Amino acid sequence: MAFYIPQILGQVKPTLTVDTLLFTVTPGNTVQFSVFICNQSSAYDNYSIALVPYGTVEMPSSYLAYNTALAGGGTVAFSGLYLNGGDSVYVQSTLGNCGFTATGIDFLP
Amino acid sequence: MIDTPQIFGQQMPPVNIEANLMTVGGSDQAMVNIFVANQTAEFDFFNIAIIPYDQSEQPANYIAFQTPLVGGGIVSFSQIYLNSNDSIRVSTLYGSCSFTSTGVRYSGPGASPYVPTVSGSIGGNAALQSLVTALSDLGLIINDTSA
Repeated sequence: MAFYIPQILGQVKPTLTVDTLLFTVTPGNTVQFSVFICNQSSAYDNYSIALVPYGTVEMPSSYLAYNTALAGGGTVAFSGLYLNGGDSVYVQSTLGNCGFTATGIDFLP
Repeated sequence: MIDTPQIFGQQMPPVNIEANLMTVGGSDQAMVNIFVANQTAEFDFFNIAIIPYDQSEQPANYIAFQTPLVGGGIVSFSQIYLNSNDSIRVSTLYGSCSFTSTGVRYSGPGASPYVPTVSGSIGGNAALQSLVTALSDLGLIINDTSA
């Protein structure tokens, strides 16, 4: 029997250029989620999002977005993302002005 | 589990006043879409914060912060998933934007049900061991038994 829990999976506003863990899927679970990115300054910032499979490290092929420009006050969303147990999402921005929110459904076995 | 499509909240906050758009019920969860409409001919700037239960608002909560919206403009945010008592707060710089949250409320048993713990000695009973293992594998019990 499987159960599912809609929830906020992670929220961070990383320090400039610091690669930061947004969340890791609990081993044994799976998730379906969306990521919302919000530039909280009036200047352009550049953001990166990496989906890192369990047991691997971040590499160029991990990125959904890399140094992607977001206008001041801008917001953007990525939807339809699915991860398995132990997979992780890492985020960063060049100037540290972007907030990241992941919300979705945690599927428990 | 009961799925109830509904309007969760509608607000048109005064200038620079933060308003609570919605809070998820105490034992519910929700999938929410937010629609923002600028009802004047001039630019306005809006904020949306997604706030986990039992936390105070902080920069990481924002999915929009002083985001410009052209006069007469609309924008939406889809598939925001929230757990019990999480809330959404909104505000605008000029008080010209309205906010509507609609979605599906998940309530009743099924989302995160009570799973009982079974403890004690199996006593070497192979059939009982098999039963406990099967129930545990199905997620129906937490197996805290001993052989």
